[in-house]
This record gives sequence, structure tokens and C-alpha cells, in this order.
Amino acid sequence: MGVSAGHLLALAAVLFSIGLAGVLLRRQLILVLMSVELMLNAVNITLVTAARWLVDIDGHVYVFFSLSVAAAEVAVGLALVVTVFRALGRSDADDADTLYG
Amino acid sequence: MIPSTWLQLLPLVPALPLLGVAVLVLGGRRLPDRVAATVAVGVVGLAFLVAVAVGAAYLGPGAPERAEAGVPEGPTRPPVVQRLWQWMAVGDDLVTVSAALRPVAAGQAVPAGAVGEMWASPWDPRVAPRLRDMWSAAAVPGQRAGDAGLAPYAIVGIGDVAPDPGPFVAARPKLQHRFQVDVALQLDGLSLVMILLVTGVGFLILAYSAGYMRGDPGLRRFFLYMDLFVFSMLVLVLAADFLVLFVGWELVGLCSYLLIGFWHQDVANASAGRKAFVVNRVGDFAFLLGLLLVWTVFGSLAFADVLPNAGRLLPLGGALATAITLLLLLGATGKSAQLPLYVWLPDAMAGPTPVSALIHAATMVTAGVYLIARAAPLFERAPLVMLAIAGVGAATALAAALIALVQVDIKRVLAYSTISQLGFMFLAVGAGAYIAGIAHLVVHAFFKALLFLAAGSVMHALAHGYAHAGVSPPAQDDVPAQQDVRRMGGLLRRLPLTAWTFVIGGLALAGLFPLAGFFSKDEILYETLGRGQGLLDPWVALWAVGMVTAFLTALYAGRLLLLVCGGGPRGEGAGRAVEPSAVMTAPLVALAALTVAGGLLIVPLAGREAPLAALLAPVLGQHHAVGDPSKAAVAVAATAASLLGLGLAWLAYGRGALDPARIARAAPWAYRLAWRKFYVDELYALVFVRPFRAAAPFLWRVVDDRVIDGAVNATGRAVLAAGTGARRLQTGYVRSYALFMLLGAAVIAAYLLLSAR
Repeated sequence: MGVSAGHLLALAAVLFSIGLAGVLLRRQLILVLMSVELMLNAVNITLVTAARWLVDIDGHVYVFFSLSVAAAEVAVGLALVVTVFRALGRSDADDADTLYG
Repeated sequence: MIPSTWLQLLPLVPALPLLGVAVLVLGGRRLPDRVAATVAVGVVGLAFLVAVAVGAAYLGPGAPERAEAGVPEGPTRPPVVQRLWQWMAVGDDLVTVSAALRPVAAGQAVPAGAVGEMWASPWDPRVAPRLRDMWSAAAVPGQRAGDAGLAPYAIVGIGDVAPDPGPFVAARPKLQHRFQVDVALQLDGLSLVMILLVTGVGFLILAYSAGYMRGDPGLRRFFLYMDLFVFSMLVLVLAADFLVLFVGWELVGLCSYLLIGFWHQDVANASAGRKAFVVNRVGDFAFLLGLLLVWTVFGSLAFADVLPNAGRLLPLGGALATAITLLLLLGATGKSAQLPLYVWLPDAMAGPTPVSALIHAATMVTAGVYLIARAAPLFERAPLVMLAIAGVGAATALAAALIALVQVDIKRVLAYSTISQLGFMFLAVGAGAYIAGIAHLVVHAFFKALLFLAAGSVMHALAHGYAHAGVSPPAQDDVPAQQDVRRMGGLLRRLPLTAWTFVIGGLALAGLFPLAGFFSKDEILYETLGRGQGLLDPWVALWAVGMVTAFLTALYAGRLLLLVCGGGPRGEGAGRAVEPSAVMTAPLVALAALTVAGGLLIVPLAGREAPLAALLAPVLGQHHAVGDPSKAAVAVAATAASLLGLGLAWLAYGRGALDPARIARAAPWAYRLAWRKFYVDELYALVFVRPFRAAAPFLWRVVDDRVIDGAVNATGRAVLAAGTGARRLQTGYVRSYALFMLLGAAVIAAYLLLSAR
């Protein structure tokens, strides 16, 4: 029994859910960022799966784009985390509440 | 000879005064007074010249160009309509394709009514797709439908345009919006007479104002309003459409408000302006309702669509015709100061005297008479309303003449005389004698402008006289000394030019042969009598009222002339009065010449039709009296009435054989009634003003403060409360926002999944 599209989509769903739970539940910014990456890659898996299933190259192209954008996003995200850490002495998501009215 | 291409200049006539307005507005304080006055007067003078040129082009004998312009010669000269731009187009389109309005089975005869015009919007989902798809062979009512029959809304043929299988929008051969108004100017005999009158007399009045208003700090504002006034009136008379006419109508009302309250530092003047505006609004509202009715019946407001179809669409004497014309009549009574809406005109004296001349002669008050003449085909469908117009006119003429008999303010006498003369015009148009009515309008414009400008000149001179004498007597009965005829007298010697022109105007007002006023008034009386059959006919009674009024007119005109000009001075002002400068007297002389010669416009001479009648007949139709009273007899009777009135006035105020005070004492109630203007103002105060005053605190404290402000404040409070509640959602934790996003995404995903099924 080979790896079917269903398996891959299930894996993507699991990864996405884990990432989502991480984003919602973790307070450590670094971990939130990692969870976001997890969700992003789950979507990438979905795209690649769909591309293979439909025999269409578009999905692969999307993934290349999304990977490169993700790299840039991580750089920005990490820089923000560093800045937050420098400003607050911690990198806890709930402490960054300066804009709360 | 002026070629007919000059007709293209028509828009210049109203545009020139508007240009004057623009220059005065943009120039502002940078313009010296002299320049401002020159510009303001100049543009109206130019407009007059253009109007003359356009008129000559319109009336000129047939040149080759004439045929191209589509203006045939002869007495049936059609109006020239110049469409400037489309003003508005609202509502569905009239799809003038023939469309099957209900299904017709194949092989059946297409019934009448199944194919016709329809109102539809190209975007109407019920109609558009079908129209787009279904073309079939051209069908005519009575013919058999094609093989497939006709589906509803199938386009089956477009008159002489071949069916176009393209998209529906492109296939419409003719587009007409359900409510469409073009800004268009119409030139015909009637509007030509009116524009010549408005610009010509307006120019003389403006030229006079340049002298009269010299040194007034508000001079630029004055001329700005005056030019705007002339422009508005030109829009009113040149309109080819009821709605554009209405715009002019309202603008005229606005200008009268601005000019009557020109010296608004005095509260009385400001409130006089307001009164004119409010009273006019009452009539305007009725007018607007009338226009809505016109549109419901005719589906258009353009004269070309409405007036020729009046006979077809309005049953004679039907409720619809009566309603429309009654509403229009009420509008006309407001503008033309007739019963019951005349009360604003006497108060309009608060403005500078040239304003009164402009309002009373060339603009504003003539609008009502013009409207009735213009909409004559509508009024003809409601004989009862015609009788009402004549009745209103006769009653107003009589009442105003009675009031004028006892007033002591020179301007007020003239104001009531205007109301009375307008009553004569209403009598004429009510009798269907439109040409006589318009003729009297023109002639009255000449001599009333003359009388007002001369009165202004008298007041000017008297004010100077008082200044020389170094006295300023207090106002008596609220009448300032320089306007009080009781303190005038002897001006024929002190101010020969002003006084003689004043006398000419007064005698024309009295209807004395051979001044212009005689001919036009005689014509009205003749036509009114001609409508009557038998002695008990209402028209005969109206004629009798007209005769009595003619007598009273001569009486008060004679009284005014003798009090102002005759005898010796009865005040320091009159004794030391000085003739004003030539800027002011030259227009007086011009108007006096017009008053003397104006009869030539009305009287048929040497077997030829009278010029004015020749101009107006193609528009208004030649009027034929039912009965045939002797023209000479009517003329003799009218002259006798005038002479009787003038003679009586001379006995009372010239010779002193009759003591007016004794007559007043003999019937004190009658005198009081006339002196207090029949208590109409008091009646209106009681019926309208006091209830409004009483209701105002309630409207303010309860309706405005509680209901309206309350609703607004409650809305504000509700929003505030909602905001306070929603604030709790904003925790400041990024994670909670992410949760909301997740929930939102889940909802959207659920919707998409469920709706896909």
C-alpha cells in the first residue's frame, strides 16, 4: 500500500492543527513563530499533494514562492522577537500589550 | 438685414446679465463703484441690443438661410427652440421598439395593444434577458404571429429600423427617459416681447439706479442683485420647459427677497423681504404641485410636449384640467400679487425705489400673467378656472384701487396701483384676451417704471430739499417725510422734468387718450364685455367692475398727481427740492416717450395689424369676442369713466370744491377699511401667523428638543454603549485575536462547504 493523497492531506491536517494549537496556546514568542512555520509547511504539503494529484505544476510553483516568502518572514519575525526581548526583557506574547486601549 | 443665423445668439441674452453678476462677484471690492455700475448697466444694455438683433433675425423676411434654420415665413411662424444641454434624465427608458406586451400564440392575429411602446430599464432583470434574446419577424397588430408565436417582451419590430440581433442596449433605436428635462430656450413672439421688455425697461431702470444709488455703500451688491434679477427673469421668459421656467420663477423670488431687504440694517426692511419670500413660497408650492400633475398627465414638462396635447389629454372642464390650472393660478397669484397673495407687494416698498420699478414693471409681477398666457392651452381646458382668473383679477383690481385711493405714501399708492393694474391683466387673460393682457403688461411696464422712477426722483429731490432746509421732520403714520404726499405739492415748478414725466405716467395710468394706457385698458374692457352674452352674464358683471375700477384708477391717479405736482409746496422739502442729475432724468424722458408712443404698438394703423398683435397672434391665437359690442361705445364709456375720475380728483384736490376729509368723515368705516387695507394683513396674522407663533414654542421645546434632538442623542448613546461593550473583546492578547481569526475562518469555511452542496 503506497502513500496516497489522503495520507498526505491527513498529515498536513495534523501538522496544521499542532501548529495552530501552538500559536494559540504557547506564550513564548519563539515557539509561536515556530508553530506558525509548522502551519505554513502543512499548507505547503497540501499544495504539493494537490499538484501531484491533479498532475498540475502550479502547486509546485506556489510552494517555491511560499518557501521563499517564509524564509523572509522568519527573518523579520525573529528580528521582531529580538526587539521585543530587548524592550521588555522577556519574549512573552502577553507582555506586548502597549497598544491595548 | 440680419440673417437668421443670428438666432444662435439667443443664449447671449440671459448670459450677458449673468456675466455681469460674475464680474461683480469676482471683482468684489477691487472694483470701483463707477466701474461696477457701468458693467452692470452695460451688460443689460448689451443684452437688449442682442435681443433686438435676435428678434430681427426671427422676424426678418425669408432668406435662403431661413429655410435651413427651419423657420418658415408667415403668421404661423413656429417657435425656435435651442437646446443647451440635458439637465436631468431620470427613471426607466421609453423603449420605443415595439414589444409584445403579452404572449401571443403562433398563427393568431397579433391583437392591438400586444405590440407597443414600453417603459423599461435595460438593467431590469425581468425584461432585459428576454429582450436580448428574442428577435422575430416584424409584426403589426392584426397580422398573424410567426411560427413560434410571440413571447412577452419579444421585440418584434422597430418602426422603420431593421431589427438588430446585437445586444439589447445597442438595439434600442430611440431612447427617452421617463423624466427628462433639457435646459432649452424658446424664442417665439411672446418670449420675444418679454425679453425686449425685460432688457429694455430693465436697462433704463438700471441706468437710473446708477444715479439713484450713487454713494450707497452697498452699490456693488445692489447691482449684483439687479443683474441677477434681470437674468432670472430672462430665464423665466425664455424657458422652453415648465421646470426651467420654475427655476427662473424661484430665482426671481430670491432676488426680490434680496433686493427688498437690501437695506437690511433696518429690521422692517429685512422682514419685508422675508414676507415677500414666504408669501411667494405659498404660491410656488402650488405651482410645483401643478407641475407634478402636468407631468403625470403629459409625461413631460416641455412646452412642445405639453401645450399642443392639452386638447387631446385634458377633458374640457374635467377635474384634472381644473386642478392643474387652479394650482398654476395660485402660483400666478403669488408672483403677480393678486388676491389672496398680494400682501407682499405693498411691503416690497422697503427696497430702494429702482427695485420697486424693476419688480413692478419689467420683472417678477409680470411672471404670473406671462405664465397664464404661456400655458393658455391648459387654461382653455378649464373654463371655470378662466372665469376664476377673471374674477380674481377684477376683485383685486377693485380692492387695490380702493386702497390706493386713501394711501398717503407715494410709493404705496403706486404699489396698490400695480396690484390693481395686474388685476386688469388677469381679467384680460381670464377672458381669453391674451394679447390684450400682454399688451397691457407691456404698456404698464412703461408707465409704471416711469411712475416709480419719477417717484424715486421726487423722493431724492425732497430728501435733498430737507437736507438744504436743515430739517428732518418725523415720519407720520409710519410714512417718511420724503414719501408723504401730504407734504409734497408744487413740484411742477420746482422739478419740471420729473414732474412732467410723472404727470404723463399718471395720465397713462388713468387711461387718458391718446396715452398708451388708454388703448390697452380699453382693449381689456372691450374683450371682457365681448365675452358676455346678455345682461346677467358674469362677464358683463366683470366688465362693470372693470369700468368702476377704471373710474377709481383715474380718481386716485388724479389725486396723486394733484397732491404731488399741483398747488403749492406743503413742506420744506418740497419747497427746496432740486432736480436730480441727467443720469436719472434721461431714463424718465425715455420712458415718458415710450408711454406716449406705446399706443402705436397696440393700435392697428392704416389697415395693418397692430405690431404687438401680429407678434403675439401666432403664439396666443387671435381672440374672437363672442358678442360684438361696439368698439367705439366701449372706448367712449372708458374715456368717460377716466375723465369722470380725473374731474372728481380735480374738484377735490385741485379746485378744493370737495373736501376729501368730509367725505372720509361721512363714511368713517369705509375710510378706515381702505386705510387699513381691508385688514387683510391683520386677517393673515390672525389665521396664519398667530397659530404658527403659538405652535413654535411647542415645536421648539418638544418636537425639536425632545423628539429630534432626543433621537439624535439616543443614537449617540446607543453607539457609545455598544462601543463600551465591544471594548471588552479587545483583550490585548495576540492569542485571543488569533482565536477570533480562527473562528471567523471556520465560519467562512463552513459556509462555503455547506453552500457548495
